Amino acid sequence: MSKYILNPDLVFREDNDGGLIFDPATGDVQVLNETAAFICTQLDGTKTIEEVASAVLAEFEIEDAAIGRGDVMQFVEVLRSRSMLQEV
Amino acid sequence: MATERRPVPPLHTIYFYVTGSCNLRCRHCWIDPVTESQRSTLHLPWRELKPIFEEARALGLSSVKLTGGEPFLHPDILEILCDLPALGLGVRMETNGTLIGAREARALKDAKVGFSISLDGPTAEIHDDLRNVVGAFERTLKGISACREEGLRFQIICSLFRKNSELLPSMVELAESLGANSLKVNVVTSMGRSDQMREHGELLSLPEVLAVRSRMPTSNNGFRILFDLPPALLPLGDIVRNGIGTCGILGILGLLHNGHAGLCGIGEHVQEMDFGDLRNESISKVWNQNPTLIALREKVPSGLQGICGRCIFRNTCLGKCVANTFHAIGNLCGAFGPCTEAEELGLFPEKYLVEHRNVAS
Repeated sequence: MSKYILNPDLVFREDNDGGLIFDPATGDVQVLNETAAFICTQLDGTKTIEEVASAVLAEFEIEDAAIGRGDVMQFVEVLRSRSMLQEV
Repeated sequence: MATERRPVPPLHTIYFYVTGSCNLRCRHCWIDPVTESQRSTLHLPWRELKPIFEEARALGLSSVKLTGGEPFLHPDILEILCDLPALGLGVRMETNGTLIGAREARALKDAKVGFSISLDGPTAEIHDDLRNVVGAFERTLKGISACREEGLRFQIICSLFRKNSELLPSMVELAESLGANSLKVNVVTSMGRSDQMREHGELLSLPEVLAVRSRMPTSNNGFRILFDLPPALLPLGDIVRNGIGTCGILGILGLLHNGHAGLCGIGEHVQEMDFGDLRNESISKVWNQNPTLIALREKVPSGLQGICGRCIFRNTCLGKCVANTFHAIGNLCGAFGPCTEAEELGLFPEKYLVEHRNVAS
């Protein structure tokens, strides 16, 4: 299973309320809600996407696992499609 | 990296300073309009200005913000509210609400105007003190009542100064009870008439403003509360809920009450920012060829200086308000004053300091 980190060319900032992904080349900033920011913290190259999803379900006490996993997969796919992830 | 020559962006929005007169005498007003007795000289007939908007559509114009002075003092305001939507333009308005009756409320409704009404305190004592006219509070509430009769939703704008700084929770309650859909808090800064307020200690210091913000929620059961501060000085939660916010200055042109174009509204006060009379000069020519606008496109955001040049929000915040900065220090690319002050006081979040690769030389 593939494992990912955020593209190291990007800058990630977070606090309890959410996060930001900054691209120094373009100056663009993506604003992340609390859940999205947490997912980014989990993309550290040691976890599969499935494991990241499990961490999200536990962190936010999401009862409907199918929906929760689907949301995580969808967000990761958005990051990947925008070249914001790097496979390790 | 060399400074880039940017293509001319679309002119999205005209800030139309409909009239230079006002029926209130707000002690914090940065425009400093004259009062009613002089108003006949402070507006132009709509028929002289309408062709400007017709021409501007070819530049990409899609919206107009009506402000002033008090827009409802213009004798042609109802015609303006009828014509702009007919040109396919979205309309927003800033008003003090005191002149809104049934007819005006209906016009706002018919034109689908998104509008905000100024209200600075939960009591007449506070509001009338800042607006400097006895009875202003009651007249504004009457205008709001007329809006509610038409089922209109609107935003309340509250100007934050020392006297109302502890009363914002009451303002939230009042705004909700009046049918507003949001409360926007504008911080009164030293500009125009408010210089005197600063001298009298009526303005809040930056740490005081941030403390007020930290005590307020961002929303209250779905009712939105917006603080008009640069994003770097807001809690990240505000940005998550409300977006980063930008004034869109690269797509905005001011149209002053005298028919002149300007950078937002400061052309009224700063000669260099008066781009000429649009009744005599094509708005296309001004938008495409004015040297200040060209310089603005080349230097903002990549040439922003000081703390703004190192801020993670540089490309979206665009220096928060370059017009305000130019008015304050005469430099379009200068750092926004409150952010510089925050840096000096150690209040600027270090996590928002980054290195941009796209930097103007």
